[in-house]
Amino acid sequence: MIPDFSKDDITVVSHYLGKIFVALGIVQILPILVGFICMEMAAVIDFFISIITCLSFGSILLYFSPLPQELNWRQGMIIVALSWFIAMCVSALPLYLSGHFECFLDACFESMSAYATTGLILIQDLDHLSHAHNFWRHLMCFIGGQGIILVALVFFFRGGDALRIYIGEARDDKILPNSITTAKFIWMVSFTYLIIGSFLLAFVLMFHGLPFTRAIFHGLCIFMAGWDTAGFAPQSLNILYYHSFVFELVTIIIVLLGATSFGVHYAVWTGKYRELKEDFEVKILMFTIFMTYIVVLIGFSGNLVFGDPVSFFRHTFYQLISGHTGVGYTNIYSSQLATWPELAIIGVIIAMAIGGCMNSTAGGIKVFRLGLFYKSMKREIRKLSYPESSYIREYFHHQREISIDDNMVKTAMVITICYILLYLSGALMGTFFGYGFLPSLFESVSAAANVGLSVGITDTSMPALMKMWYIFEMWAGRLEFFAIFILIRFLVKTVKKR
Amino acid sequence: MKKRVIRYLGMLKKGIIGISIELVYPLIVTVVAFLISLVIFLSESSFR
Repeated sequence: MIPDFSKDDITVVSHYLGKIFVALGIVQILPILVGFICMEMAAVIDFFISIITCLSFGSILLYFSPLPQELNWRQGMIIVALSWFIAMCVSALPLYLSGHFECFLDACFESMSAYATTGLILIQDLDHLSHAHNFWRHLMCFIGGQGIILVALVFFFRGGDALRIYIGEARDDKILPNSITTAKFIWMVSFTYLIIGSFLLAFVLMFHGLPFTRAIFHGLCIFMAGWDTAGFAPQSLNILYYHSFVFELVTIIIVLLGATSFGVHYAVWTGKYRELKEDFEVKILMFTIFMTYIVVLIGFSGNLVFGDPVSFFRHTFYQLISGHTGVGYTNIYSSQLATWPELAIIGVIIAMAIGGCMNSTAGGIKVFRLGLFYKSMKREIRKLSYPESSYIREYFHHQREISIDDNMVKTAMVITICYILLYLSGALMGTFFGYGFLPSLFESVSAAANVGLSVGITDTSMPALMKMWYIFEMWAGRLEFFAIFILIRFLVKTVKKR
Repeated sequence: MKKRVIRYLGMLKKGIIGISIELVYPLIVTVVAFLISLVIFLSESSFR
């Protein structure tokens, strides 16, 4: 008998959502500081309103739902799914107040895109946005990439409860025995790279003539969005704005590291250097990068529009790596991408659909699941070629030797099918609204796999229903479905009860 | 707090070689990808 949802569930969920509201209010102090430094008082007021809203809602929820019993798995999943939705709504408030969005839905689209580390944008006149708001856009990417729950975990949650919501955020790698220490390790890696990466980017920008403060601001923003594979940039031209091959190379390093599992980072940081060479996921990632890149290159055969090999490489590989790691940075206009040969576009779509490593900041089906299918297929073939009585085992190396079992493959299969259905649903909706099937598929995969590359469909003129569907795709794709499914069941049950 | 910072610095010291290796691996991927694109570009150009 499946247990029904009770009043206790609502109390527990409300209590933790109250904490999330408070956490979201606290992090908005950072853009306020940027606003003060840059003397942007209008922006400071926007964030002040938003903080008051977050703290008010948070306090009300915490007051009326005092801490009850320990959290269970189902409640943890609902908290995660609702946290992301609430974060989208409250974080859209300062964006909307900036006056750079046509409607609140567009601001919500932008904030979900940032939190889910997608990178599709609907902002108007980005080049004249205040530094505080711009910083907030990139900070959301950083928070979302790490995990909203991961932010709250370090400060607000107890040990047992922490694990139940940590898993809900599509992270199941227990790098360290405790989920709070794992969360702290993830933050430590990210902050260390934040310092290294931001200075490296700023240095390149200063070398290209940007003033010190501007270079630091751009370096910081690009790092936050790059490491968390979000793909936002402070300028509307994205990476094309910088016109620098070296800058593009540095971003490639950052995004590849961002798309690498935190488990691998942990191994390498603790002296197990060979892990980078031996990890099954890294191997599959390399393989799929090269294979999809070859597809893109073959797509251009007989259609070579680039004058020299460096420009050919810069334009093709950057979009491919950007799509594969899910960052969505681009060094060409979306109108140029739309004119790419169909096979090259298909190559990028496949790369986007696959995505990066599990327990990284990347989205998509994930190379781990792809590798699991390969190993499972190999096991089945071996089973058929050996005598019936023999017991065949297949191993892969992911921090340790792991033997694959049917449950593992089944779960991976369910999530992969959900991703494929999500990709197709967006493509069908795009086609229904009059866009071509391939561009619609491209945009849908880009949204659901949290990539952010665009062939020009994502625009303020897009139908509201499509905007809402893309928001759902980004949300479901980032949380890998289960938390959303449980939330939907919870809502349906609650409505039915009434 | 002081203890935590010392522990963090200790780990960072151990991880410096790790970070250097991690920074090199994306470069290797980029160089290999460049070589692949160069081969395709040259073969395409020669067929023109």
